[in-house]
Amino acid sequence: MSQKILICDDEEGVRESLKLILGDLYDLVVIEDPELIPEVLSKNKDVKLTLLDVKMPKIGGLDALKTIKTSFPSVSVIMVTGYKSVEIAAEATKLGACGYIVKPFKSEEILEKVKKVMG
Amino acid sequence: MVILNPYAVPPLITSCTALILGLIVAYKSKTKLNQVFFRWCLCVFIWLFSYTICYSITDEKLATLLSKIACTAVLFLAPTFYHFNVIFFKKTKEEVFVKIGYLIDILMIPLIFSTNHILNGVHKFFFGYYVVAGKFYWITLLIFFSFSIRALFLLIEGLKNTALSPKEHQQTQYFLVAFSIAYLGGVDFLPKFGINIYPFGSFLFFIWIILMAYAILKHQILDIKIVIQKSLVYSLLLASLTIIYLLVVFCLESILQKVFAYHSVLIRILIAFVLGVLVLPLRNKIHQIFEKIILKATPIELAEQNELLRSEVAEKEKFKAIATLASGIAHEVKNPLSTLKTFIDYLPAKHNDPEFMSKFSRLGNQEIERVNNLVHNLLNFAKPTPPEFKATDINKLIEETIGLIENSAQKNNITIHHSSQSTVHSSLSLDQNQIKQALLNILLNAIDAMPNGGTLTITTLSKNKFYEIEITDTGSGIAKDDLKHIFEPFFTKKDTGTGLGLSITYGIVEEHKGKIEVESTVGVGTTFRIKLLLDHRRL
Repeated sequence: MSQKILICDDEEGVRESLKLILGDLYDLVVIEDPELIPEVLSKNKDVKLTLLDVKMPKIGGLDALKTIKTSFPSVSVIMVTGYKSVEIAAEATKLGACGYIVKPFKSEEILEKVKKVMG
Repeated sequence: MVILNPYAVPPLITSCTALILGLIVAYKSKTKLNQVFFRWCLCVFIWLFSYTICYSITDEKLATLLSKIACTAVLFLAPTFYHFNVIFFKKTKEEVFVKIGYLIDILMIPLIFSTNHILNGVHKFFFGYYVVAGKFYWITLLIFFSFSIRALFLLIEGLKNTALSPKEHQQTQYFLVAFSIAYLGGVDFLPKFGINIYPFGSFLFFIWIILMAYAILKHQILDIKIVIQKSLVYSLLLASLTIIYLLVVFCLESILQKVFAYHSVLIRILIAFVLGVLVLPLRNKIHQIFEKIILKATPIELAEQNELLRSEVAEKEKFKAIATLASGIAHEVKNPLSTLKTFIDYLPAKHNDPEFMSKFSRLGNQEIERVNNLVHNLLNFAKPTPPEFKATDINKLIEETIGLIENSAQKNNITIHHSSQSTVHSSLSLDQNQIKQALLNILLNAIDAMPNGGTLTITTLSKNKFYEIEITDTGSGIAKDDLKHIFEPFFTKKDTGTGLGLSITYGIVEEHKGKIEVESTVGVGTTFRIKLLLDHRRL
């Protein structure tokens, strides 16, 4: 049975790229608006991992991470970001993220990190 | 009887000028440095004004009292000068010695006034009464020179201090030259020992005043702003030169009367007439001389220099903004790069998949277009262009500007809220780059004000004829006293700031015939409101 991953990114290009990399291996739920995360996660109880963009309008990735970790503690989160920032990485880890991917990413890196979580 | 003797003229002019200079400095800014500078000027005034009268009177008793007052003032010059340097070079550890200096001087006062040990009466020289040194006069010399030498040492040490900014370094050079010249006025001690020499220290102090005025004008020392400096110090020096002129006339009259024993109002009338005829060309001449010697330029040239300086620094500010912009763009480019990279990676395996190929073609073009736009924006902003007013979609412009700082905001854990209450698609006639820069300066300041994160809210609305942009941060806020100065050039509270960002913003808004307002509460945050005239046309 394929496992489910939620992808939340406001950039179409990034969403499509992640779909390309992970689509053949996993069941994907892809959304643009981080405000929809709680609703989507409530509906899809089998989501094991969320890939979250750090920089998004309305609510930032770190806020979204907080929401996920409070309401859906069993869901693992990997942050995807445009720049290497020790502070944000540390903050994300503190908030419970299990990984951190820096753009422009390599497909192997994504696969490796996702496989580690999904088992 | 008081007869103003010609030898009393230099101390009179110097004392009055020193007092006025001190008052301007103290009035313009109430900082400790300015207060101490005022005290120093006050001492110079008391010293030289007392001698002005002393030279001109025949009453020996009064002359003795006045010369004692003068000497006390001189004594206080040393710790005050020392105090000035301690504050300027932030030598907080030496503040206790400053207090000791003041205390010693206060203790000397009763000794000076109630005994003859320090000052022993007055002697009549060719220039008038002058004080005679007492048995223990050397004590005052010791006090005076020990504090002065320490202060001068601080100045010399300051010159070698590499931690000083170039501006502070230049200020130190000026202080050193100005105060060194002033201290050559130490020759005034000589007549006290019976040496028959005119105490020309007041001339040297006049040079000191000119130098200080020049330093204040040119290098913004002591916080006085340029316009006030220009007009006040200018008229101050002009006034003192006019006094010289008047006194020459006065002396001439006395001589004529003595030599020719000619007592008539005719002389006064004649001189008044000459004065009336000469006053205007003379004043113009003084203007020219002052401009050439002191400012090394005419007001027009000076204005040009200022304008050049302003544009140079504005350019620098722009480059700072470009650096921020570039880092934002570097980030923005990473998203399209990620997309292109992933699709190219999968191209060999999926080139037969029509869905993949159509997505690749669409997204690829879209992302390349995005990178192209970003680079184009940066180049546009960096290119120095003359202001160009054209109909602009202000909402789009604000979006673009916010886009430039998103990266920095995120790094600092700052959330940006942007909402537009303006119902019309607002078109304004403006220079896009300038308004972008104006907004960027406020936004970057807001980010600086929230080092521990916060919220940046940008609200726009159209109200009557105006389009209003409100930028609110939840930062440290601006103190009430500082608030009045924030749009003034060179005003900054940041260690690395040039103090020009907001003054440039102000200039840009003015150029657009708009208005800018600011409200701030310390600890709560700051709100900037820019009002721009709406264009009647619509996009």
